[in-house]
Amino acid sequence: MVKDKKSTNKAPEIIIEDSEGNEVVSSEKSKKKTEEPKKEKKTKRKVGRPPKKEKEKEKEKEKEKEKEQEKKNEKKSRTQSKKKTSRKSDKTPKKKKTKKEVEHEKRCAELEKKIDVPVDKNVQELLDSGRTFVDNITKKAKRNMLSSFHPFPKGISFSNTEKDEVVVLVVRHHWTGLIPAFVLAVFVFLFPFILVFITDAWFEGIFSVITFNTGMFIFFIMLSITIVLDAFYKWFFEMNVLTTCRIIDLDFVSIMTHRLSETTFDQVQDVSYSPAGPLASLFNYGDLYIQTAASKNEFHFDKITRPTDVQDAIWDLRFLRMKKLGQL
Amino acid sequence: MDILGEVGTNEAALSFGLGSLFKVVFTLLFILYVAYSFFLALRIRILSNTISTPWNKTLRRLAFFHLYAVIVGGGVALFLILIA
Repeated sequence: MVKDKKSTNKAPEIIIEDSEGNEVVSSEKSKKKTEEPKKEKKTKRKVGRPPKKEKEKEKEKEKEKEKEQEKKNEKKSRTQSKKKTSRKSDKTPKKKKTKKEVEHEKRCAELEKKIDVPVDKNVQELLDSGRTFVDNITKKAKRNMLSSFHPFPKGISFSNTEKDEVVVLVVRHHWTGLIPAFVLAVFVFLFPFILVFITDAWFEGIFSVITFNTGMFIFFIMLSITIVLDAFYKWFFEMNVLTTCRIIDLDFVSIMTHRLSETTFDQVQDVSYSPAGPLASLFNYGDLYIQTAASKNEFHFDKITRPTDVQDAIWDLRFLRMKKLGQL
Repeated sequence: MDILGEVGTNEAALSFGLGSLFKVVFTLLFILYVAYSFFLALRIRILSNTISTPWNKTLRRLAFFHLYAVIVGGGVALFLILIA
């Protein structure tokens, strides 16, 4: 029930009965009174409330903290799980290695020391084959790329090497083959001195001029350097290579031509060698001849170091290749 | 008559000294030398492409350095010989 009282100047009062029947007086003043503190409250709230950005920042900080805690917990759990697994692994009994495996590992380690190259699967196959050539060629072998007998060289490859092909041995001429070139270079170097000082009486005119002499000295010194360099290049690139699949022979025929010939092991029919002279038997080098079934009958490895070891390696590699191809 | 008497007496134009012979020989040698070192550099380049070794780069550079040295050094030597 709503009853309107007399209308006065005063603000009209409205009496409202409660659900229990009590009269509740409401007026605009009371409304104002009630509204004013609300406004104040609102303003107070506006002043007291932190701005939205700060709130967001706080939330972000809280989130970051939570994330950090989560990470820490994860780390803890991981370390615990690792510890558990390690304990478990400690508890599990280790498999005992067989004698063969131990010997194989020893051999691999020894070979790695000798050749200074990590032993991969293909080399391990050669080791496990039971053939003696690996031990023979790695015995007393130098690791230097410039050595004339280099087993399992690092970083040598050809344009058409197969995936499972391993370069087993690189052989070059024995260093004694460089002696003639060095002798010639020394002679060429000394040639202008001989001309000027010994045979001065023959050509008095031109050889007494300083500029001519200096020019001649420069020319012959450079010529001697070129002779040495040319001999070195020939020695370096005239290489004979044994891989697990084939034999490669690279010859530096002349300044204009070189010859790269190769044959597979299944075509090899005969391998023979002959030491060429007393120096050859003294320094253990000689010529090696490989007869093949191909149109080119013979491969000639000229004055190579340790020809017997190379011969042995060729036969063993041939055997392994034929076995792999199923021809044995 | 005096002029006719001098004809055939001037031998300087026909003389060919030993020095000039050496100069010609050295010039030919220089040309051959440069050609040889050029072909050597080319050969090394081809061989290093055929077989790849860890030393290939060094050898190739050495070959081309040698070629330049031959051209410069040999040129200087020839110049000194020719002006003698």
